[in-house]
Amino acid sequence: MEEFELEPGEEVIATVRQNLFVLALRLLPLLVLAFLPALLGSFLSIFSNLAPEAGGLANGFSLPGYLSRFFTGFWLLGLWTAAFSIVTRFYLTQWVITNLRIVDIKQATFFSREVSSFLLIRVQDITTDVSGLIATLVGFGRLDVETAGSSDRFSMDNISEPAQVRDVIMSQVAQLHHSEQLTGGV
Amino acid sequence: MATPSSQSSMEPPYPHLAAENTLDAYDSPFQEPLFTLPTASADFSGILLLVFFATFVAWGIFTAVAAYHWFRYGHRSWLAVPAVGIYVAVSAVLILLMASGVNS
Repeated sequence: MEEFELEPGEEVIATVRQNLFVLALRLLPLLVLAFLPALLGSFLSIFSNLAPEAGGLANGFSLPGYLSRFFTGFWLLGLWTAAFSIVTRFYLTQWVITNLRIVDIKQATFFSREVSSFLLIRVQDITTDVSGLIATLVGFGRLDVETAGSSDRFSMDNISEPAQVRDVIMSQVAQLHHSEQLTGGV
Repeated sequence: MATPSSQSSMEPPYPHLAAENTLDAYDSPFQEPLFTLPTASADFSGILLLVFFATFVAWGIFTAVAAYHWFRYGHRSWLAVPAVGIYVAVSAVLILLMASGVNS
């Protein structure tokens, strides 16, 4: 991995991202906006039929064919670009669990990326939270990890099956503690 | 409607002004305006072309930045190439749709 180097003997156990349902919710407004030009044309057509005396007003909003193609392409290109931006930030935001640490990678915007590492040996408490009907049915929630230290606490929001991720982390923590006991903490 | 110039064989509408040369007053009663607004039949092709090129440049910059992020921070993910490829392919279709409106 180019972004952070693995220590000798360190290996990646799991890579966790947010649930795809969360991505779908973020893309849904763009999908609605994509149909807006067609809905507007249909609305104006219905309006002109219901109020013929105002039909001239509706006809005034009609565009020549070439302008309609241009603005439709422009509108859809903008929405498509916004959608790809959302997908990119979604995919690049992840949590990497190794046998030694957890790496928290947050891609807030294209030019804002935050990477934090938390040693598994310092993990003290893990809390999972699945709230709501949709979250329960779909299976995503929040996982909070508290580490030794006054402010060492981080969260994984909207991840799939947080209980399974918790089990993975706890098993790695248990192995680390067991190996420390065997080596006498050296 | 009869114009003053076609009324040579007819009685002028304003006999008391017939002796004066009033044709110049009819031709330009007002001063020339400082500027005129574009008419409804104005040519938008130049504006559309400018908007098209500006959009294409902005799209190109965004695509370069997004592709860089996928390949730099994607941790050698197999999804990077298909994702960028699909994005460019669909964008090409939409850009062609815009271009068809510019060239019409």
